[in-house]
This record gives sequence, structure tokens and C-alpha cells, in this order.
Amino acid sequence: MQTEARKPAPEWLVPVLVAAVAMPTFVAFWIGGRPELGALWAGVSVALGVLLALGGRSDTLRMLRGAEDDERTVLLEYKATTAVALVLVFALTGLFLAAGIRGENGLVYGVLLLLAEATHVIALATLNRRS
Amino acid sequence: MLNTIRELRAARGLSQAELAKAMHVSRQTINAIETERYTPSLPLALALARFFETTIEEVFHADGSA
Repeated sequence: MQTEARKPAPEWLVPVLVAAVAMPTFVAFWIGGRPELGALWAGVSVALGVLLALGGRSDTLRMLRGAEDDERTVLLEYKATTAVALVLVFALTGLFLAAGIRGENGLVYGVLLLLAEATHVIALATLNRRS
Repeated sequence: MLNTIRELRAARGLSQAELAKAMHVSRQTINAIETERYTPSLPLALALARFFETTIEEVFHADGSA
């Protein structure tokens, strides 16, 4: 048995995708009549893309770019993604509760929380069936 | 997990980068295994054992009896 190398995605892909979010971001805010805010958020996207692209020898940035993917970095990516999900769920829960305290219906937050839980359940069921 | 990867590698005069290349993993992963911060998958553990022409039991020691 031999370990197989995963064919890595090109290192430029993630930085380009991150930077590419700038254009629809600007257009969306421009349509909404706030082009200055669109330019600001587009600038943030481009800056993140540049940071990723020029991150040099940082192991973390190299992992974000998908460089040298192997079983350990894939595992770390899974754990990092779990952390992202947890933070978002806690933030949404806080916003949902805050909306309730303010007397609002909190519909957006409630729907997003339900979507997160549905995704969790479907993912577990699917992965359980496949493994 | 305790292991003898560092000793086996050093005995063959290999660098972490060279072993990593042979195992198709990153140098950081070899370092993480050697410093017991990462337990490799069974396929990688088997590949390491076979690379060093020994057995998994000789390379990895779950009970701390390295």
C-alpha cells in the first residue's frame, strides 16, 4: 500500500476566487445605491486575495491556498471548517435572541439557524450511509 | 503516538523533506508525526513501515513503550 498524493488545486485559485468576490460585491451595493460601501467591501476582498497570494512562507496561508495538501492538512481543514460553523451558529443564536429581546421576529436568523441544523442532519445522514 | 520515525530516518541519512517526498506528504506532516503531534492514518503508517522495511508495531507504540 502506498499513500497517494492528492492533485493539488493551483495555488492561485483561492486568492483569485477571494478577490473575484469584489466585483459582485461592488455591483450589489451599487445597485442598492451605496457604491461607496461596495467599494469598501470590494477593497477588503481584494486585500484578502492579495494577502493570500503573497503570503510567502506562512504555513497557514499555504494551507489556505491549498498548497501541499495531504491527509494532515485535510484534517486540519475539517477542524477549521467546524470552528467556522460553530462561530457562525453561536453568532446567529445571539442575534436571534437579541432580535427577540428587541421585539423583532428574528426571521432571518431563525431561518439561517434552521438551515444550519438541516444541513448538519442531512450531512450526517449522507456521510453515515456512505461510510 | 510515540514512534521511531526520527531515529529510522536519521539512520538512513534522510531529511524530513526527503521522507515527506517519498510518502507524498508535506515536510510539516513528517515533523508533526515525529514530534507526536499527529497520528498518521493507517495507509500512511503502513507506507512508513514498509519504507523502512519494518512493521507498524516496530515503528509506532500506542502504549508508550517506545
